[in-house]
Amino acid sequence: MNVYDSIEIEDMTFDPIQQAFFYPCPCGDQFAVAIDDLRDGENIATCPSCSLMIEVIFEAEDLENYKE
Amino acid sequence: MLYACGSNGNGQLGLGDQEDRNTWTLVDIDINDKPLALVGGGNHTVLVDSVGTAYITRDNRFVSVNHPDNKQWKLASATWDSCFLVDDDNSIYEFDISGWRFILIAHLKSSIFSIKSGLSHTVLLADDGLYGWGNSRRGQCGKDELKIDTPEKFNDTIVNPDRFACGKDFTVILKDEELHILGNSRRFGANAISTSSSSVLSSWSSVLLLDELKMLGNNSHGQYEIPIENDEHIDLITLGSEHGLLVSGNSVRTWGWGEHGNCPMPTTIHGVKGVYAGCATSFLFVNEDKT
Ligand SMILES: [Zn+2]
Repeated sequence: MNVYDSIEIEDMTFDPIQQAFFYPCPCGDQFAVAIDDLRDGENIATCPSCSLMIEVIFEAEDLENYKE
Repeated sequence: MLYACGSNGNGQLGLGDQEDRNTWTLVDIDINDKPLALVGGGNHTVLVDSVGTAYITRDNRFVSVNHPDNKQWKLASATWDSCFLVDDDNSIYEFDISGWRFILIAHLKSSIFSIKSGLSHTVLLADDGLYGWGNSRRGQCGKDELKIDTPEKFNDTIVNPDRFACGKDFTVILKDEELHILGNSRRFGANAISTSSSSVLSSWSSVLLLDELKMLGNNSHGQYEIPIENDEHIDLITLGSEHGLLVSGNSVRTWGWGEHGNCPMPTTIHGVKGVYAGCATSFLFVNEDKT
């Protein structure tokens, strides 16, 4: 799998309503990954408008900072 | 004449619709001379024409935006979701795209001659040095602060606008035979890289040392594959979010990540005077008389 870039979770934007992290994609849309998916061990955020993916760099403890 | 191709989901190519284009397509805008600036953010494009009128894409078209005090614009840069314009009196304005209005950021006594933006930070070069503002979480504005609201002077000093560039979360500065990476340097493996180059360009995640024609940083999608032979001359070159455009003679070429049509096949076009690239968008300014 060809990951386009690696982004630290602090650099992403957390949307408490969608319970997801976002980060700009070079296509103009945004990479997104749900916090529940990160809790389940997922570390890839995808873009709905193109094939690019980013790896999210985080520790399990980091997710505690983003409680509902 | 202005030609465009690439990502157009918000009408940022100014072609009257929201369809991506994979070939050079004529833009309906009345400009006869090379623009002073043409920059693209996530979903918008900003153009400053040769007489200092600014245009920003809205409803799929380039729409002119008047200076609050009827001065002329001279420079522009675009972040992910905003843009900055500098007038001929060295005032810096942010243009709030959702509110469609200018907000005065600062007025410098010194003369500003270049402005560049990353995803969420901006750096300008004036005759008394570099200034930065915006997101500085990684140190990309040259200061140990999370966020800088108005332009603050860098510790580093350079005088040539070819010697700095902004990536997504970093700023690069060519100084003392080294490329200095301020901010996130993870993609480069070092904070400083020795080089003899005197000019640098940056995409979001990779950097081009122009004299050496050497790319550094991210190479996930062909960013290093500059389509030029050793004996060929490069007349114009620029980098967008993750792609590049160059002109050699009458040959217009592209490389890097082109999933949205922003990297058309090599094309022969006469009279190209300017190349510009945004977030998966590409633009050419071509002289009418094709000389
Ligand atoms: Zn995308």
